[in-house]
Formats: sequence, C-alpha cells, structure tokens
Amino acid sequence: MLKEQVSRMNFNSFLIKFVVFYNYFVLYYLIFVNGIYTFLLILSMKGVFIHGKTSEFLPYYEMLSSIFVPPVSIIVPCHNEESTIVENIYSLLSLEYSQFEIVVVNDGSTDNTLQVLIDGLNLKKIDRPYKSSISTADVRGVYISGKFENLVVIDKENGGKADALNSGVNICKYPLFTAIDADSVLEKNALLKVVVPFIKDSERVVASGGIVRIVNGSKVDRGFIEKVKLSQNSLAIFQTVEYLRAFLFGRIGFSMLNGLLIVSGAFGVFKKDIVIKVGGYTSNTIGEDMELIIKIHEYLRERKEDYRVVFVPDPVCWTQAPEDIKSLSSQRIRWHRGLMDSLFRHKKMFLNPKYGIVGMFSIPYYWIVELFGPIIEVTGYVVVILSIIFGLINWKFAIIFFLFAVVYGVFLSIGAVLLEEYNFKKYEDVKDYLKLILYSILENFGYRQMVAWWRFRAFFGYKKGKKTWGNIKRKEFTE
Amino acid sequence: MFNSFIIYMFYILCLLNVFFFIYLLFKKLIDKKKQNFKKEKREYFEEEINKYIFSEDENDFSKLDAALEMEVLEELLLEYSDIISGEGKERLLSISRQTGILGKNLELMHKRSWWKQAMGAYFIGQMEAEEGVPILLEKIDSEKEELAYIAKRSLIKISGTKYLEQIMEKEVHGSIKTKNRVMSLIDDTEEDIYSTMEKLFERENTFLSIIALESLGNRKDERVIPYIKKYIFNQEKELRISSIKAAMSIGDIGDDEYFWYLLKLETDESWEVRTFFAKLLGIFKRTESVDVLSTLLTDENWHVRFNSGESLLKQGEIGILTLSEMLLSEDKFASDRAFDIIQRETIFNNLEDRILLYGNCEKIMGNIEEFKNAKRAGVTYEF
Repeated sequence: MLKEQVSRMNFNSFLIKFVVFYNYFVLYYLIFVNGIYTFLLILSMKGVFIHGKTSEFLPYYEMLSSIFVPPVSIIVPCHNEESTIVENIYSLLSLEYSQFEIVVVNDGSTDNTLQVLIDGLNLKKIDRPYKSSISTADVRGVYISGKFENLVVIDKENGGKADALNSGVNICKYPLFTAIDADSVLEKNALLKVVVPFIKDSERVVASGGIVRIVNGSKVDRGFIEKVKLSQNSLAIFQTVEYLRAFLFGRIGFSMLNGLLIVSGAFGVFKKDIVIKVGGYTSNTIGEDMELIIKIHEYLRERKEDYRVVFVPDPVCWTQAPEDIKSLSSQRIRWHRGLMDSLFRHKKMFLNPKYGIVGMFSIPYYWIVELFGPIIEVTGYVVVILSIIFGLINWKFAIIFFLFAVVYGVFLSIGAVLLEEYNFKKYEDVKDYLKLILYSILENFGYRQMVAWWRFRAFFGYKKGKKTWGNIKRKEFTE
Repeated sequence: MFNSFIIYMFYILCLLNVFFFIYLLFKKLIDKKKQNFKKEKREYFEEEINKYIFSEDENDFSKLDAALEMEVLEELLLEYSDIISGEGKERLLSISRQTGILGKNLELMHKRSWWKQAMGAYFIGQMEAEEGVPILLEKIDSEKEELAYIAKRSLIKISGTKYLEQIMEKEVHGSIKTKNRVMSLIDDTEEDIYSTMEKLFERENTFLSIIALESLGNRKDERVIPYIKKYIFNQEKELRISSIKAAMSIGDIGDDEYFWYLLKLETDESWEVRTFFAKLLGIFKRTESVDVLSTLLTDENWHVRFNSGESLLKQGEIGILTLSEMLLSEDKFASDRAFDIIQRETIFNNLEDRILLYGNCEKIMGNIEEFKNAKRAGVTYEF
C-alpha cells in the first residue's frame, strides 16, 4: 500500500515537473518561432519594396511582343475536372504572352473530363512520338486541337499529379515550362511577370513562382478575374488571411535568402533541363512541388552551382479554396503529409553546411516550425489542461501569455495586409480590408487550433510514398 | 521580470496593431479619393495630349506643381511613348519639358537610391531626351546591374548606335552575360548597326561574335554572310549555332556555293548543331535538302530527327512525298514522326486538299493508305 502511494507520488511529481518543463519549453519555442517570423517579415518588406520599385521601370509593353522573351510550355494536369477544365483552357489561351503552348494532361479521370475536352476544344487523336525523358504511367493517346495550334492534350493512365506533370514535361517543346492547376485562374499578364527573372538572369534562375490567392468571392468572367472581392464564406476568408501571410512574407523572405523550398504547384515556372536532370517530379509523394524544389537545391548545391530559385510577388494565380470543413481538413492533412514526405526524404540536408542556407536555415525551419509546430501546439493545449488540473497555472501570466500570442499573430497578419496594401491593392473595398483585419483576429480563436489539429492528425496514418489527387469540391466559375 | 517583459511586449504589440490598423484604414480611404481624382485628371490630360499631338492646337502645357497631377501625366506619357514614335514622340518630350516632369526625372538621376535613378533613366529613355545622355553615360558603369541595364537601354533609345560599342564592351565585363538581354538592347536601335557589329567581330570575343552574328541575322543584313562562313565551322559550338541562326534569318539567297558550303554541317559532331542545321534546311527548298533531311530523319539524336520532319514538310510536294515514304520506313520513330506531321497538317492546314493538287498525289496517298492498312489496322485516324 505504502509502496503504491510512493510510486503514485513519484509519478505525480514527475508529471508536475514535466508539465512545468513543457510550459517553459512552449514559451521559448513560441518566442523562437515568432522571432523567425519577424525576421522573415522584415526581409519581405525589403523584398516587396525593391520589387515594387523595380517593376516601375520594366518595359512590359515591349516584352509582350519581343522575340527575346523565352517561349513557355504551360502544363495543366487534371483529374476529374469536367466542370471547369474547358473554361480554364480558354482563359489560358488568351494569356498575354508572345509564344506559348498549352499541354493538358488528363490523368485517368473517371468523370467526363476527356470527352468534355474533345468536344470543347475540337480535339483529334494523333500518333505523336515524343522523347520519354522521365518514365511515367502509360500514355493512352495524344490529341491536338482543330481550333488552337498551340494546344496538346495527353490522355494517360492514372498515376497521380506528379506523374501527370512528368508526362507534360516529356511532351512539352519549350525550354521553360510552367505547371498550373486546372482549377486556377491566371491573371492575363501573370505569365510574363513570372518569367521576368529568367529574362533578367537566364543563366542562374532555375525556377520562379508567383503568388497564389483565393478566388472565392471574386467575380470571374470567362476565366478572367473581373472584380476582386472577399468571399462571404468564413473558412475562405480565414484561408485568404493565411495565404497572404504565407506568400507575402513567408516566401518572399525565403526567396530573399535564396532558400525558397516551395514554388507552388499551382503556379511555378521551371527550366525543363534541370527538372529532367533531377528526374522530374517525384511520383510517389504527395507534396511533389516542394519535393521538386528540394531536389533541385540538393542537386545544384552538391555541384556547387550558382543558381537562383525566386519568388515574384506580383504575378497572380487565383485558386479555389475549400469552403467546407471536410475538404479543408483533407487538404491540410495532405499538405502536411507532403511536407513530412519531403523532409524525411532529404533528412541528410538538415543542418548540413554543404547545402548552404537551404541546409542551415530553410530545412531546419520546416522541420522545427512547420513540421513539429502542430505537435507542440496541440500537446501544449493538453499540457495547459494538465496545469489547470495540478493547480500549476499562474492565471494572470497564462492569460497575458495567450493574449500576447494572439496579438503577435494579429501583428504578423496585419504585416501581411500592410505589404498587400502597399504594393498590390487587390482588395479595393474598405469593407474587405476591415474583414481581413477582423478575421486575422478571429482566426486565433478556433480556426488556428482546428488547423493545428488536422496537421497533428496528419502524423497518424502517414504512409510513405502514397500518391493521391486532392479532392476538393470545385465550383464552376460564374459571374 | 520575465512576466513584466511579456506584459510590456503585449502592450507594445497592441499599440502597434492599433497604429497599423488605423494607418492602413486611412491610407485605404485616402487612396480611394486619390484614385477618383487621378481618374478625372487622366481623362483631362489624355484629351490635352491628344490635342497637342494630333491637332493644330499649339497651346503649350504649363509647369505642374501638384505631385499627383505630375504622377498622372507621367504615367500617361510613358504609356504613349510605347505606342508613338517620330514627331509624336518629340511632342511628348516637349510636354515633359514644359511640365517639369523631365526635369524631375533628371533630378532623380542624382538621388542616392539606385531605383530612383533607374526610374529616372527609364523615363529619360522613353522620352528620348538628349539632355539625359551625360548622366546616362555615367550610370552605365553602375555596380547595380538593373540600373546599368536601364541606363544602357535608354542611351540606345536616345543615341542609336553612337554608344553601342561602348555598351557592348561593358556587357562583356558584366557579371551577368545574358545574350537575349544584350540582343534586346541592340534591337532597340533602328539605325544600321553593321559598322558597330563589324567592330565586335574584330574583337575575336566569342560572346560578342555571337551577339553580332545573331543581331545582323535578325535584321536580315546579308553583309553577315562572310562572317557566317567564317564561324560556321568554328571550334566553338555556340558560334556554329549562332552562325546557323543567322543563316536561317537571312534565308536562301540563291547562292549555290554558299548552300553547298552549309551542307557540310550534316556530319557535325554536336547534336545541337545538327538540330539547328535540320531546321535551316527547311528554308532551302532544294532536292539536296530533301536528301539530307531524309538521312537526318534517322539520326541517332531525337531532336535532330524531330526537326528534320518539320523541315521536310516545308519542302512542299517533294518533302511530303518523302514523308509519306518515311511512313513505310523500318525506323519506327521516323515512321511515327512522319505520320504525326501528316496528321497534324491534315487537321490544321488541309494537307489532303493540297496533296490532291500534287503531281505525286497518287504516290503520296498510296503510301498513306499502305501505312494505315499495314501498321495501324483497326485504329481510326482523321484524314
């Protein structure tokens, strides 16, 4: 009996010690993470400022008709996109760019995507030979359009998004290619703007990415944005704030350091030869966009090449955000598993000076902040509950600390809105601005915890090498 | 101690958030007002500029003091400068002088920040303002690549070829040597560039020779032909490719000796060179081209074979006849490639109708039929 009491006391005191230790750990972790965010925010402010100023003296008009602007292949992988695919192809066909081709890859859709494409674009099947530089699932047929000479459609067996992209890389004919999600809408001049780094520094730039914004709520007419507005759906607005933060200070900051690890799968331009050299997109992964960029960094850093992976904040690709909890949770779980996949595959780069800023800063950031962040956050909440049970909580400090975290989160969000307002001014209505600020406060009370929980859940059931297409309920773009 | 630090930080962040919120809100409201004002001013200035440029109206513009008005007019002048040349451009320059906008941009060139200087340089170049030349000449040496590039571009816009050689010299020593960027600079001048390019050839520098070859080629200047002959068998692959590119731009000048000279490239060791050579042969519509292209269609390199097919198509009837014969080749790629081209041309350019007009119509159609029956039984293709 006494023995039992002693062991229970020992366990209790261990638990108490652990809870106290964990509280301090979370506190210092939060300070560390926010320190990094602030550093990135400052870098981004500089980056956005320089970008804003330099774009004032870029001769865009001349570039539109210049023969010196490199031709680009636009690869559009699609899977069960029958409702939006044709409209999106039409909008891509009217992009402002001197020379481009569109390669649509139908990755074994089980709906009517192929037939919709055949009817809508007057496709004819041809027997086209092509160089298979990257191995992919079987190609069932290549189609060209009777209406548009610069359009090719590949119909292939289902192999996942990465496999579809690789098929596109195999068949596309230009030295630069861009990968665009079928459910996205590009601004007319977006392609030209995202290619600018390749014009300015064609030797060193190997990949460039533009900003992805949430289209929900905006007025879209025939595949083009007519008026930018915030959605009426709360989940979509929360994601708008998140995207602004992720792109406007996350990616710009990393790009300034030449340590960018993600060029969004929704909109990025790559040098075809380097993508082929690294073996193309990795098929058995979920986060193929991040995986490709890490492979490029790894390959070029190992060869001590001077290169750049850049983010351009100006060219915009508009994408549909999920408006229901189910789609959003599955999207976030998928993204987090993609992140895990890429980081596990390249664990040798972690804190490895051989990989320069990528190995010493970007990869550790993604491990410590992005990958383990949700674990620390969720367990943090559990520990807070335990602290209350054990009577260990200093209520005054806990409340102040929580409010501090909220206010800091709001500060970072306002920072992103500030960057947005200074350079891009996409949301014209004052009402939209007020909503953005309101939601950047509200997200700390429920939304953020929900996202952390999904990302935490991603660790369970993670299976290396799983490849799926994300399924989000798509809406047709209508006025 | 730590608690009070967190509390202070909390208050500071609260204040910062409130400050940013109010600041942004005011900015947003002011921007809206500004936008409306700019819209009105834009309409007004547009009308005034049109009158000044296109009608007899000789009313001069007065000097502007309001920054916002200047901003609107400056934007408009830049937009007009993209689409207007000659006398109209001189009028735009005159407006920028009268209103003080040119003066403002000249002043920008003396500011400390490089991007302000670049903005000034850009405006001066777009307006083709001679008074900006001395300061632009200073800026082409700037360590800031962007500024140096804009200054070079503006200098060329204003002075044509006058400083071109000097600019090219700087490009050779620049840290970023981008061929297309340099060539787009040369493209900005409308004057005859031959004498400057000749000097670049004399430098015996690979980069400069490539620029000169392709720039003269782009202008279809036949005086480049001796240089094509000189460099087309050079040790450096890049020079051989640039020579072919120049030859492609010049086209078939009807000189047999020149053509036979070019044909020697058939056995070049580099596949990139053979690829460009295959493209080049598409321009020379001769029986010899068809013979060489038929061989190249079975080249070991995919790119060479791909381009040979396209060039055969450009040869007209004889090329299409060869392609149709290639359908029956044992080389699967050559056969598939020929079929790809024939199918595509049928869909886009009514190849079938064209074939009916050819003397070899029956032969070509027979080959296609034989191919379809023998190798593609059971598959329906559009013909």
